Amino acid sequence: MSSGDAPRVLIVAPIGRDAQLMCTHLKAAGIPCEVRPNVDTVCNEVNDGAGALLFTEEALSPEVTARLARILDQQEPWSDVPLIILMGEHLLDERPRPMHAFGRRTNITFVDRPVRIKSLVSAAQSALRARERQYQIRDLMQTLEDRVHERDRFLAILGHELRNPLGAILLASQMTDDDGKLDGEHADLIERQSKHLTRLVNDLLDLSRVVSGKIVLKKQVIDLTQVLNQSMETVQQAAQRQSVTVEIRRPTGPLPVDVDPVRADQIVTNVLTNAIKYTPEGGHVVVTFAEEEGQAVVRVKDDGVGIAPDRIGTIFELFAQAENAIGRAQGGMGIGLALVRNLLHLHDGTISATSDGVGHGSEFTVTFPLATQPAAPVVQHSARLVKNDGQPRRIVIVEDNEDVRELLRLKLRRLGHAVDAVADGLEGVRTIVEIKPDLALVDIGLPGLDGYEVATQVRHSLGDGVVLVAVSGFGQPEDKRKALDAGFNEHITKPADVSDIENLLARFPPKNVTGEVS
Amino acid sequence: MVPTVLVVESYPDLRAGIVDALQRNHFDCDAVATPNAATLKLREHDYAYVVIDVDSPEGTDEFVSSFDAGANVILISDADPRDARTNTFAMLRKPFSRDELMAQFRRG
Repeated sequence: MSSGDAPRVLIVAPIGRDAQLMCTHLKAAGIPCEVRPNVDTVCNEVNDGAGALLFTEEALSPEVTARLARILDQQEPWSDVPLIILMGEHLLDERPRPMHAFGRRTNITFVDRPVRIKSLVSAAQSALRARERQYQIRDLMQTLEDRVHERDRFLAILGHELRNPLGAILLASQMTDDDGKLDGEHADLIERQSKHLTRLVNDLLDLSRVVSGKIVLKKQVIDLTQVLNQSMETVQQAAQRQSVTVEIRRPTGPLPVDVDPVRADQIVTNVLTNAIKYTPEGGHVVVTFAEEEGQAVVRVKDDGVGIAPDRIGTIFELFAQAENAIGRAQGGMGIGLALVRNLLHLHDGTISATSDGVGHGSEFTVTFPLATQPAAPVVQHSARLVKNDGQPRRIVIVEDNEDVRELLRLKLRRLGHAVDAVADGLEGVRTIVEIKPDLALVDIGLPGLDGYEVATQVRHSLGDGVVLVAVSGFGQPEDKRKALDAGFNEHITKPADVSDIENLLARFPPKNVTGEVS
Repeated sequence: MVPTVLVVESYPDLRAGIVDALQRNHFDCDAVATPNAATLKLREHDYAYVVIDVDSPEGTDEFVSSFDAGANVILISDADPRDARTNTFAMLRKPFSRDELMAQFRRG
């Protein structure tokens, strides 16, 4: 039975007009039913659409009963078709009664005759309801099976997409000169692939959160064209590396939209990144912002690899790129566009794509509903353009991962700062309170005390006298809020870039440098 | 004489990494992204070794099966070599180090 069909009662009553009469009464009560000539016919339908079986005792000879019992035993694990047997008042022969022949099989209701119509209808309704639940369980099992299959496919694709960048990083990291130093080209490759892996992980986590409804939008009315400035800043390095020209065509006036600025940036950045990634060296990307029929419209047109006509309908599905030769060669899993579509859906926006085919470029069109209120200025969610003043700071690092801790210490010392580094929360509180540094970079998942507790205890001891920065693998807006609530001044997400730390140092002026302690 | 290697790898940075590793070990390398391009190269040159990423998006079954069993072919793959359907050629699982790559050539 398919999920849409109503299960029906199959009736076998070989004597007189019993079958037709029962069928008439059941149908009058709204119960779907059909008459079958014998039990053998019904046996074929037990696993294929039967809702319940209604037999009179006369239909069940010992041979037929044995056959039916075998069929019932061979049902699928989810299936236990209900059987109603109307018992005869007296049978002329002395054959065994069915209740003995069916033994321990329990989903059988024996009803004595003469049977009242209400009792018959009630028994049939109960049986059908039980059967409906079984079909629901079957469908749930199928859904679970599909999900497991989907998960396995996802893990296989993820494994592939991680191994290529990891392979490139591993080989490049070993290309040192005789002094053990890495040249700029290999260092760039490692940085590029590390960033690629970071984006992959971020997109994966975001998509998972969108799908499970965990993303909370912090909407405000902003001018959409201002989002472009941030997005361009993110993608310009990739465009330069590939020698792709990005041309921006702005509207004459503002485009006010009621959006979460962080997510709007993510949407525009993802579409721009996609266009640049699939445009060969020397190619062009044209970004047009316009107002059309109450919508703010962003068009991103490129003269890149294009999209085959048979793929255009699936381009926004998860892993679409992973099953596309061109996409895979570029290291695309097909997460970015799926994420964009989901994020736009949360904003009542849309995305669509057109292409004249492979080799003929493509155009992606993103729409947001125009807001009725005027736009407020966009608050920059990062301070990438702020320059560090170069003055040394006293810094404490609290980080339990030895490699991360030592690399961070090395980076900061090279920048001329005095750095202490400890590995657990308790030691972190003690060191920060004792040293009173300008800045403390504190991991959240620490042994002893977690980062939130470290912040709380430090604030209790020192008040606002130290700048506390949470450095965490959890980078969602809720995680940032939680860090600020615990007393941190800032929150940065791992892996922390040198530029992230430089920005922080620039924003918090030095206080009491006394030289290096450890 | 310098041994020659043809590398067939679609992922640009991994292809560059393999070529770097081989050149530092004094191999003469050509590198291409697809089996089709590799077939053209093989018509023009004789290579002592061929390194093939079997997970190439274009598919490599036909290309790999064009080599004789004794050929110096090194297959690189996402998969665990223990799950491989055939052990005709050497297999290396990604990600691999320079030493692991070179060990395959020493065996060859």
